[in-house]
Amino acid sequence: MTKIKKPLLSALSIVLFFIIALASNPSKKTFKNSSSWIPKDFNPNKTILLVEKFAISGRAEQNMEDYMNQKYPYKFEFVDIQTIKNKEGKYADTKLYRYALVISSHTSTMTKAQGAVTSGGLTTTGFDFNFYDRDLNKSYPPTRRPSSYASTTFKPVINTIVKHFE
Amino acid sequence: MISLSKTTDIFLNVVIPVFLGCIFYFLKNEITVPEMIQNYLPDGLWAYALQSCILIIWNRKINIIWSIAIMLFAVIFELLQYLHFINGTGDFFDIIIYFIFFGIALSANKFFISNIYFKLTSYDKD
Repeated sequence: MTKIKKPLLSALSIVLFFIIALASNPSKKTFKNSSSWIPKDFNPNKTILLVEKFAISGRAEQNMEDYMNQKYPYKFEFVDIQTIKNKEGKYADTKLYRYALVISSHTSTMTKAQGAVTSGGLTTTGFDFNFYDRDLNKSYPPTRRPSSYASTTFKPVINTIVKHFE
Repeated sequence: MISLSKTTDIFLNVVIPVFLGCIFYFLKNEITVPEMIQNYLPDGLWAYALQSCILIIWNRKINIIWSIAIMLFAVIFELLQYLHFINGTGDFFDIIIYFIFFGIALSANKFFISNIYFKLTSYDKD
């Protein structure tokens, strides 16, 4: 009995810890700061939300589109950033296509600590999202909850928007 | 030399990091901290607690098989997210953070063994 006690406890611990990790995954997350980045005039029932395509990764882009189809109950379209900014053709109607969810990325560097033996630092790119008002050419603040993968931020952003209008 | 029971060890190195990670996770929208810490500290604390838990189960003797197993599980966990078999998105930097904090727990193990006396009533003698 004692021989299997430790391996059993180890296996149970791993299962328990991975349940904790799964419980905190981005598909269930929402951001509580929605009032700081969702425009007050945004009404998903009255407008079609344009979402910027994630040009860097086709896989992530597909992941984001799948997530929108699955979770976002309002109308939306994925378009490139030029289409959002140019307001031409079908998308010239800035009342119907007033708001766009655009990607904002920035780079941060973890610099070398004083006295550290190794040189250099760890540089990561954080992907965030912000609303863009095509009618007023106005950018709203980003969520300020970036991650190194666009879809990691995208999922809680969409969850938050959906929750906001429930 | 400080005397530490197994219960205290579990509390200090497993319960508190998991608790802090949870607190941080639930309060991260309310508090202002650098983004890198905000995004990765809960994952790091989770990894530290898991490695510590395995070490404590094995009486603070490094069990290579289980230590490698949790590292593999962490990589597989991120890979499964990346391949969309489970919810979430695989993040390469998460793996780096896991390994850094697994390393911290293993380094702290050395410290705990050499500087802190574990009560033999709580820890097995073998």
